[in-house]
Amino acid sequence: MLIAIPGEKLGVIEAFEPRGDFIIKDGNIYATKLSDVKVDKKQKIIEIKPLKKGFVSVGDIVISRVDYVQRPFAFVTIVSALNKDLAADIKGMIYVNPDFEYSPVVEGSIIRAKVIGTSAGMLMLSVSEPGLGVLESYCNYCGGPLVVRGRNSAKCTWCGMVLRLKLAPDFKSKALPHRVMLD
Amino acid sequence: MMPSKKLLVSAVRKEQILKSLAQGKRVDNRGLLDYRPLTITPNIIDKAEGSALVKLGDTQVIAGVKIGVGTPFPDTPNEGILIVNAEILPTASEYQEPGPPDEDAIELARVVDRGIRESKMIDFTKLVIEPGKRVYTVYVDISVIGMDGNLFDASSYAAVVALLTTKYYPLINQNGTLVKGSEKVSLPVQDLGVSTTFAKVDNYIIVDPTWEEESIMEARLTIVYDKSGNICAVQKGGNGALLVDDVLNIIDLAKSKSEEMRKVLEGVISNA
Amino acid sequence: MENQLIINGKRSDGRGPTDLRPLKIDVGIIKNAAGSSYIEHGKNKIIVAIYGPKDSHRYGMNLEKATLRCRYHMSPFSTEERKNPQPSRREIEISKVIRDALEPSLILENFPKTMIDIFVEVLQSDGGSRSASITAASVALADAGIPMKDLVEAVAVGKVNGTLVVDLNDIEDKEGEADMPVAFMLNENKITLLQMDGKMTVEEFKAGLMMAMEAAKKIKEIQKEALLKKYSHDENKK
Repeated sequence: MLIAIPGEKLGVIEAFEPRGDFIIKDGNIYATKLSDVKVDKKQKIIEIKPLKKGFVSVGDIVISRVDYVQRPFAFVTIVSALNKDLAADIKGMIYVNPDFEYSPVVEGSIIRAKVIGTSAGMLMLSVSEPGLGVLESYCNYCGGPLVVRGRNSAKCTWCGMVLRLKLAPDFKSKALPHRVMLD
Repeated sequence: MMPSKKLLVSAVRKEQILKSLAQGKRVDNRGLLDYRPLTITPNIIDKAEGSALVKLGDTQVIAGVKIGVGTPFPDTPNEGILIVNAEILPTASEYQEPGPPDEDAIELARVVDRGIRESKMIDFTKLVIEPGKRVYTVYVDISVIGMDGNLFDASSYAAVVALLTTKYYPLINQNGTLVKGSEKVSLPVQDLGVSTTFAKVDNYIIVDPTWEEESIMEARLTIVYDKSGNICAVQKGGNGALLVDDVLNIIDLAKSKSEEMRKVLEGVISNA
Repeated sequence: MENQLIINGKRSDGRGPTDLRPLKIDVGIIKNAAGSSYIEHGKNKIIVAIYGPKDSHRYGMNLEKATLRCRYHMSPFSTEERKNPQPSRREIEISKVIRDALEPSLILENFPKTMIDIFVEVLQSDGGSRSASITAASVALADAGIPMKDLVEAVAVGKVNGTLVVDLNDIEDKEGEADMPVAFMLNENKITLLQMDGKMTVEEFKAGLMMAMEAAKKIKEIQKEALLKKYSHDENKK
């Protein structure tokens, strides 16, 4: 295998199509990270794959905790990401359409989301694609466990509240340790 | 540890600055290689042994020299001591908070210090009272009171003029006790290091950058030349890079510019 | 009176004017850090650790790119006389110039509103500790996977007994006529750190700069080797 050092010239843009992590300067392709480089001379492709797992970036699927919802945004903390290193907690937010009656995520839920861009210096996430959505949640009124009641809605077994959420296919319910009852 | 304070320059203003530079002019109507109006007022603080107020455009710096007595450093028992301290006062700009000198002020002090020390401006071997025991300590305190870029040159000019106009009572050793002399003397000056600062903004090399220009620059380069045309201190600043050719270019530009500024400084001294 | 530091073209440690001191870099020496390195350059022994990018809530953080912070610190036992562990003015200035020397090489726009920390600890100091710190920190940043345009390598040139020499040792640094640390991004022919103190003519300055560039090319090879050694070894284990 061929390892490239950051700043190493890998070829010219006229001859190859670069894929992966690179920069182009004056028509030359340079690596920006320690990368595994594969040159496909037939297809004229240079594949530049970083050796170290990168940081969360656009297009990644991440697991996050919803800190609070303040429409039109839900603020989340990314807790893990597939094949990525997380040096520390990274904040992100989800746009919640103010015209919707309900928010697809609620406070305290654990969600699977996709990074769709950066805005105002924060990562913007989305749960709208299939497979994404709430992985774990409890009733955000009383903290009780939820049962799935059909597509994108769940009912609290304690207080009977019906929550409308974007549920992931592998949704699991959880409950707060104490049941707080107020008359 | 945190990066320096920069002005937020709007995209429109930046475009204006660059457009102007493309036409060979700065936004304040001077040429790319012109200094802003420079006024130097020596002896403005009576209580200090030497002092000077420098106004370089809207940048205002005051330097004061105090002479004290101290024990020499063990590695230089037969030399006087130079201590340069700089502070960017909260009066300088709305972004400046009171407190101990931050890294910008420390860098400023150290670059000015280097210019004075390395140009061998003052013959410190003549500032000894008792070899190995007591020497003069020359304190140069620099206060930036108004900030509009190029603090390095303004502070350096203030410091050297204050040193050149310093007059102090010498101390005479009489049977182990120090007695104040009757007449004031000047410091043993033997050279004059002149600082010039250049900045690279976009692809243009300019001299004497304003704060606005410093906020959008790639990097700056401060160079100190001595009397005989030797380079005696260099400092690159700013979080960008300079091309090797830029550096070679600036070194030459700085030489002619420093001669120009040397005349200005010498004019101030001879009139003081 | 003046110490004769160059005799028959040989320097006090037996080197010729353009020879570097022994230089060794190890990569990935601290498990917790995102990236790390250890450099031995002459008698310098320096550890660099990179942490981040991590979330930054501090006032003054940058909304458009990551904020770089750097701390250069000398251990109390790193010098002949014990060094006060409080950061000195020299250390604060060097922290700043190291940061300014590395920042142009990094692509920080990928991580808005975050912070990247560079911690430099000088365990034993010799001449040129800031240059060695920059060389090592650039390797550590590469190890951390921070995207960059090029590695940065730094070296000092100086004037000793009227001769230009590269990579000053402690005694040359203290007793020589001039000392000029320079850092390069060789791909782009750029200089990211340039300081000088002492006395040099314009011609000497220019010649010195070119000597530093040649030395930086040699250092870059050593940086590359160090990174390749670590990573090809890791690959073989898989």
